[in-house]
Amino acid sequence: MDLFVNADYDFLRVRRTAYVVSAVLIVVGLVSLVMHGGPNYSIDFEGGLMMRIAFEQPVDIGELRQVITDATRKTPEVTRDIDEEGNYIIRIEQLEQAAGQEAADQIQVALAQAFTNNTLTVRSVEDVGPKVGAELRTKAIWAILWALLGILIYISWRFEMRFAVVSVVTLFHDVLLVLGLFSFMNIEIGLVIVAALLTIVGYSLNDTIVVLDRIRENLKRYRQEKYDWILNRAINETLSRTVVTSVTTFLVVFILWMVGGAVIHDFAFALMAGVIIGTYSSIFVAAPILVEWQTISPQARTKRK
Amino acid sequence: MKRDNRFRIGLVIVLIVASLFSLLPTFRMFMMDEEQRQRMKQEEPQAWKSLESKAIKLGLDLRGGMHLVMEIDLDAIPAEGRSDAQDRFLSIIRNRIDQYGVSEPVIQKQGNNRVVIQLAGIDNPEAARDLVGRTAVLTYNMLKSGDLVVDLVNRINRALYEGLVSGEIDRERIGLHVVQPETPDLMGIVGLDTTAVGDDSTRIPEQPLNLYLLVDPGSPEVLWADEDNMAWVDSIMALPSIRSVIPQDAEFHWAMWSDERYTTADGLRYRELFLTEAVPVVTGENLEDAQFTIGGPQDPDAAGRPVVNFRLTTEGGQIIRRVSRVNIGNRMAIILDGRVAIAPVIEGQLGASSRITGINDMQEARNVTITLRSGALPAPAEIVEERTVGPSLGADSIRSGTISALVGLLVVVLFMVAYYRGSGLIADTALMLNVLFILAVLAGFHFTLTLPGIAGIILTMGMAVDANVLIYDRIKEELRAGKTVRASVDAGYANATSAILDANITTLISALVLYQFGTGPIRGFALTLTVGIVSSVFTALIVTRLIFDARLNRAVVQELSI
Repeated sequence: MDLFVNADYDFLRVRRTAYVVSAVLIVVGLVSLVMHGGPNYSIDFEGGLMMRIAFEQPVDIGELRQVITDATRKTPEVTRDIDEEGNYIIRIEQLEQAAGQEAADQIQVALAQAFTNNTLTVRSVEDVGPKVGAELRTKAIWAILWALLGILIYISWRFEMRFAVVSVVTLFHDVLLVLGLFSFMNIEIGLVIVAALLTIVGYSLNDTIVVLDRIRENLKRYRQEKYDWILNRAINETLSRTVVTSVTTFLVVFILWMVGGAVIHDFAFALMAGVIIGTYSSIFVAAPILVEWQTISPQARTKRK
Repeated sequence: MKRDNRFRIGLVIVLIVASLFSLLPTFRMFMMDEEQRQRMKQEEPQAWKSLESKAIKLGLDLRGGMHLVMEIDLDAIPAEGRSDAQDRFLSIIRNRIDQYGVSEPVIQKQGNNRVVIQLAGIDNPEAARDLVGRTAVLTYNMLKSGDLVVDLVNRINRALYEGLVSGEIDRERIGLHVVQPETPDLMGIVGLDTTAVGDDSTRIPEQPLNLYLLVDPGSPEVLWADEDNMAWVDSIMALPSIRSVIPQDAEFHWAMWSDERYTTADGLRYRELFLTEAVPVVTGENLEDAQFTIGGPQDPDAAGRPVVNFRLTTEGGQIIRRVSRVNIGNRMAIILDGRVAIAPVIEGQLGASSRITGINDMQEARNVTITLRSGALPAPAEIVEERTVGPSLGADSIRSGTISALVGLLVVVLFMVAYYRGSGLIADTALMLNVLFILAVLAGFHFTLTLPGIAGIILTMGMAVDANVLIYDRIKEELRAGKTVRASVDAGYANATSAILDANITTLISALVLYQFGTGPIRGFALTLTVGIVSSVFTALIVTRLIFDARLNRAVVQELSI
């Protein structure tokens, strides 16, 4: 099968449209972030208690919430877990240090007493003290920064500074979009989502680099041609590969999202969003920025690397 | 032009064989059902342990278990007790978890005031929390005399025998069907009825306890047991008919560590069992401090050997002076949370400041000192992070993870064949090898597989084809430009290599950062991703190239199915 043989789409011509699309999406995400008062952190980063429980028979969520409120004197957030009827997630924010385990026991006892004739299984308990939460948050931010720095250094060494800056700008674009999307969809950001973000960083870059690698090659091959023609040609030449890899990667994370189970659901969703955004940005963001940069401050083309 | 591929072919074959070999125990283990596993665990504990240690280790999120981080409140500890507070807490926790009987617990320091505890397969998190949160109890108790121990062993044997004859005690309840009998000739004991052991045996041994415990006629105040039999001894001692035989004023206590003098080459480890007075002489509250040193050259009892000095309060000093005066030549056990750290012989009258000699090595001196200080200087700690996954959620995760992986693999394999035809099959071979290599590395290096780790493998399957896609697209381009098949393949590989390396090294950078940053499940993800990246580059650049070369070397290929 051959797709995109001798493809010759003028991607750079629509770059202004792409800027608008990206800008609008980022602004929507930022507005959502501001309206929610910052990112929606999970207990990993904020401290708190999260329990996954399963009843044999589904119960009324309102009643569930009331029983927990009576038992702990805290207002819990109760949601249906995605995988089966009768499975619920309970979240209680910001308990005092070491009070979480007691609360977990209290909740278990209270629920067993309130819902007799209905078998209760506690599937998981996660309890993070506020101090640990704050530490994990700091660590996560540093991890992302270190990864970006490492990548910046590697690309500057292998390509040139200009390419490195463009890659990192593209990465910021991608991460920002995913964060905005998560805020918009009210998905909590925890340790696992940070892992997903770092993976997106890696994946998106993977895509960007393939295009940049072709640009580097074409700049040497077509010395006489115009800069934006060369860039556009590089995108087209790698288009088939970009699409095939994106499709296979998207397929596997889609399957993971569909059947991977409750624990990994949000993680898989983040990766799905990342694959789409990463593919989009390597075509419509990375190369166009290079073109703009070249227009503003032209770089000598004879340089060999 | 033919490339000399002999080295590469050899390398690939060695890797495949090594991978399969490293995965053998994992296959064996996962082919067994739960019943077979339980059986093997009881009947061949050594073989089970070795199998378990060689198979892929599942993370707590998959097998179910508890991850706890405890923080020691250093501010609440007097200054002289801060420096080793973490060590003391660690040894208290080790000691307790050992009694609780969790397989392969992980107990590690984190920073200077935290301890991470990982317990697999906990079905009662409440009890585990209670276990780690309790205050340590240290006591000094006199050992009962050897005569008393021998007498008690005889009475327990009689009660056990009668219970078994009358059917009041069930053979299986005390493990008679599976117990590994102690080697009787080790201590010169004769007449032990080992034929009474085994699943199909109906004989009733006359001295059942001696199958589990060794009595040393030379020093009868101490009993010994193979560590694998400790749990059975505990269940015998807990039987109501046996409990009534044990005097009210006496208690059995296991040693805290296995006795290295009796650790045999084939991995059998022995523990001492002590019979002590139930009422302690002094407790941790009477203890002020403990330190260890090396005895000076003039020291008659301990020249050049480790010595542990301890200091009691005035009141404690008075008590121990009184008790030791009438007990010279007897042994006194130092017990922390029910386990005996050391049981030295009282050689003379003791006082508020006393010392323990006859210690084997510095390690033991350090352990005993830490134990004493644990009782004297409690280290208050609390749980600051807990993650508990129940066995049902773990099992669900294994199931859904496996299904996703298989479906994902199938979809990618079919897609590649549909898109690249014959060459797609070559890429698929590389893909399968990737999965094989990732799993083999996990098993071979004892890494832990977590649910995000499975996700990492799945993601790698999607991304691993990328390298091949890059190469194939290049080959297609070259073919379209009119080159021969051989030249196109050569040029395809040559031109795609830089993009493959650059793209994968940057992903590798973020995976490595992730490994550094994450704990537990996330580390598992970073790990499979890292291994996946390295192996996918290897399979794409080496393995698929070999397959192409093999085809092109055999005959002149006019047309490539790509």
